[in-house]
Amino acid sequence: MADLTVPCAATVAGAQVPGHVTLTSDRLRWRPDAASATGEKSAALVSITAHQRNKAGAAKPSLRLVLGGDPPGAKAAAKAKAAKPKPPAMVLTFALESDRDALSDELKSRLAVVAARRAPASNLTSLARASDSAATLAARAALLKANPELAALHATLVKKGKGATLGKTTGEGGAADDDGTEDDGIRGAVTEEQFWAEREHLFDAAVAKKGAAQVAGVSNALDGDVKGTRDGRTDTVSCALSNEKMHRIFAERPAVRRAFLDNVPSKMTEREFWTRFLRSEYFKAARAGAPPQGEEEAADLALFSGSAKGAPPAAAKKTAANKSLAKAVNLVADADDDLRGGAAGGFGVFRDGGREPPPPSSEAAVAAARASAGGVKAAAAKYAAREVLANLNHHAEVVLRGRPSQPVTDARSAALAAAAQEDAGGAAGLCSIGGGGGDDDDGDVVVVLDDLREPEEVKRRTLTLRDESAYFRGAAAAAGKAAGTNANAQLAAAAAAATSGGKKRKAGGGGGDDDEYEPSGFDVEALKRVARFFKVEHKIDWGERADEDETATGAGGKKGAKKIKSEPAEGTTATAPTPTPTTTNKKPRELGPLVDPAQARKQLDAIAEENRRAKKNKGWTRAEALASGAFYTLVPIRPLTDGVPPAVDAEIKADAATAAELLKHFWSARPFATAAAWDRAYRVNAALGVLYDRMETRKKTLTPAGRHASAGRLSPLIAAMDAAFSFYDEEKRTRAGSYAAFEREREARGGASAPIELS
Amino acid sequence: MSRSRCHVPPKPLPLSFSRGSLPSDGSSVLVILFETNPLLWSGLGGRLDGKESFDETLRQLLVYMIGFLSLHEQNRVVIIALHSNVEHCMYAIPTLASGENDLTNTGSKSDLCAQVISNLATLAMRMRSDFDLSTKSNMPLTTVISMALCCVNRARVYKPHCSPRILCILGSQDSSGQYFSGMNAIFSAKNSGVRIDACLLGYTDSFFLQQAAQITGGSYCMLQQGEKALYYLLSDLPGSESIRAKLQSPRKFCSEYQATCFCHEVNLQVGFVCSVCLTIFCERCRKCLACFADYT
Repeated sequence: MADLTVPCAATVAGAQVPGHVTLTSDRLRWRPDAASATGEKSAALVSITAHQRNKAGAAKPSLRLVLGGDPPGAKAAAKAKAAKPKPPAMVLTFALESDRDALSDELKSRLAVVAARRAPASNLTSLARASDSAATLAARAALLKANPELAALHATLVKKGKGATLGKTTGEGGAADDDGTEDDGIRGAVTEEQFWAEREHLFDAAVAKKGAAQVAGVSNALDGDVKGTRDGRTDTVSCALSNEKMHRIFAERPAVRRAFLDNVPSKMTEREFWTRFLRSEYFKAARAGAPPQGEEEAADLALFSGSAKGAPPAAAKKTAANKSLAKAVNLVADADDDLRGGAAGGFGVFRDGGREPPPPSSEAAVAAARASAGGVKAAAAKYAAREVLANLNHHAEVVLRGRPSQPVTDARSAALAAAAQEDAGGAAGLCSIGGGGGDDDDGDVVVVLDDLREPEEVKRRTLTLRDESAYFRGAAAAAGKAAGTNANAQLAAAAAAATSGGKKRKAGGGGGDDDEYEPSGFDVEALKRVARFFKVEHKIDWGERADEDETATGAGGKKGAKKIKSEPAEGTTATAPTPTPTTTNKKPRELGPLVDPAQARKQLDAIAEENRRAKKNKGWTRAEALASGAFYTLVPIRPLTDGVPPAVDAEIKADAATAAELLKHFWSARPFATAAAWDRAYRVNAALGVLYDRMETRKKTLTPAGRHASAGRLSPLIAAMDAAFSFYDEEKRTRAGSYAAFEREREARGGASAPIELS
Repeated sequence: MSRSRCHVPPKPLPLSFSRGSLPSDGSSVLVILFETNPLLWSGLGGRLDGKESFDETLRQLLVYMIGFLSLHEQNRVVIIALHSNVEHCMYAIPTLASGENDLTNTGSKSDLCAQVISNLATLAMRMRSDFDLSTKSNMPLTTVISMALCCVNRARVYKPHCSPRILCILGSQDSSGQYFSGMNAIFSAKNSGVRIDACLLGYTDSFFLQQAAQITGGSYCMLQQGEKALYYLLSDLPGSESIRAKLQSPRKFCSEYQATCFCHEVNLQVGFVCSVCLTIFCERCRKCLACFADYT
């Protein structure tokens, strides 16, 4: 890479000093023109994180180089760190705008090379993959597993284990992929991320579903920060409430939620409600358990503790909620726990130590205390302990409920979301714990983990053979046939069977299933079957013919076999085929139903599709088409199979799908203005070329009819590929600068001989 | 020898058939050419390869035939069996063979089926004794088309207002040796206003029958794996011309009609056609190389 030198001025000690800047492969250096002047500047290209040029037509063309800042992708993170000092920058001023642009363009291309060296593509790919969540990766895998066509396309286009690296050579000879398959010149044309970028909509729902199954957690703090802060100079207490904090308050304190839903906005505004609530909380903490002072404070305390309503939730509902609470959550719950507990003692008494409850005692200790002289005091202590434990239970349940599924945008939606969570059963349903409720023993709590579950036994059907010997006879016949018997003898024997009154011939040689029948030939037995179907068998005189038939086949089959002449194959001895009467266990074959509804529907659909296609092609009625004389020159009626063997048909379909996918990536790479876009287009274009050649080669192997059918099918795709090739060549001319930069970059990577990972 | 452009495909016949036919009274005469070649039905040579069985196809054909006869009381059917060689070609139902009395459609359909099956059984027994595998098989398509045209001609004597057509249910490959006579038969059919419909059973197209169907305005179809002939016959080949004129047949052809010269087998845009046998040449010659017609 040749050095570039451009005259420009730089700021040295606050003054503009004329000089010149030299750009080498790894460094940018500015020197003043005057030999005696000082202030030489130098910066390694790796340290340049951005370069900006002022607007075209500015009075002083300038270029600003940011040194040592955050990489371009980390702008958001840099903004978040407001305290971080600005990175150093170098500003160069040019006399001519063309000099500035030349330096800027060259610097841009060399920075791209430097960046690519520092972060190999494989690392970039792995980083990109690392950005995908586990849910996304699982959804992709599930999608590939469920869609074999997409899996085949993915396997064809995306190279496993490696990213599609720019100009990466694979050495001599055919390269085998990581999975052992031979590289065919197309694999690697599309990266994993590019492949999935077009298909995010296919697994968005799956990712969302998987994400929905995972409950977003909330903080385990016992109470929200509702106390507020004082600035110390005024008598004002400030408290910030967010939607999340309001939801937490409503979830932890059902009484507050009820008060909000009952009073806002009918009796007070939302701001007034929250002011009263926070003031009440502040005073409650300040009083440290002392009784409220003043009616207003007492009214607020009663409002937010729920006692003002005087109508607590129904006991049955509370009991049901208590029973539905999981044992893993409930510490010492029993049936009547919540009937007396709850918010009666008031929330927020614990954190200030105003009414520190005694440690929970066992039932035996409580009973002993109650039985003793000081039983009343002990019972009160027990009551306080139960109150603490009830609140802990409730808090644990709120934590396990997690965040609400519906969006919380304001106080009302927060209250409704909290109520909905509570009604939904909360933790019992979410924590996947079986049982739930206080009726069962602790041993019933079973956490079901999928990976610990034993795989279900595969249901298999029992194979029963009516005649096992027939199976082995069939297998032996197949083996004999595979060993290679006299082909001519087989031919003659089959012909004898075809003309000898319906002796059945084993078509495939495998298996001895009694229910299998071979296709019938033109013989009397077949005619008898048809006669039986039409119930005219009695109208036909079969006697003489049947006798002849039996004479021909029964008497050693000589009458029928006499006329069979078999030509000896080369190198083999001509042996007269002797049709041996075969013993068979087959039942008399009868014709099946005349019409198969499913097949008839399929054929009717095919006809309808052809009709639709013909109409769409020309928009003609039959009369119009006939009158024009061109009706029969439309698209062939069965372009999918006419003259094209099934195997080749499958290959054509696969190649067409691959080409369509590559074309999508080709056009999505537009405009080819950057080296990355050129890289992508170059790789896809090369793969399209390989596909094009493969299609042409395959077409030559087909019969004329097959070629005609194949050409008709692929003509739109070929036209699209030609358009892509033309566009690529056109872009190479119109964007010669960026293409040249891409070429230089590719050469720098040694990719001239092997532009993509080809075999 | 006349000079003409050879690449223009011939126009199909208009719906109202041209020469020699009077306005149709709605009745039809259907001549069915049904291949009974043992080599085809036994699956040897991979032509059918178990795709269709003889009894199944015959059953479907009989059902279609009954349906066709039921559509109009004046409808008539002739079945001609094609065997491996010309001498084995025979009538399966000689209903038109002996005069006007045979042109009845008043009998029971079961009797008709019995007659067809009985005649085919006779044919099968005769073929079994005479069948020779070593003899090269040439399907006598041209012969049976000519025979069918004779049947149609005879039918027109008694029923001048009927609309005749020929239905070929075949599976064997084309025989190049019958090209000239076959094309003459096809043009004869066109001039007689006889449609030729084709239903192919095998895996290979018959370009000869494609041309026959296209030239005469008929329909052509090659059954795919799993398809039944009855569906095609009922959906694409309705009984009368009036119905057929109102339906759009989706079946089209894929034959290439680019002409090649007889002398060098070179594709031509403009060539010379023998006025006697229609052989195409790339250059003017004094004598036809195919039919030896002398133009001097």
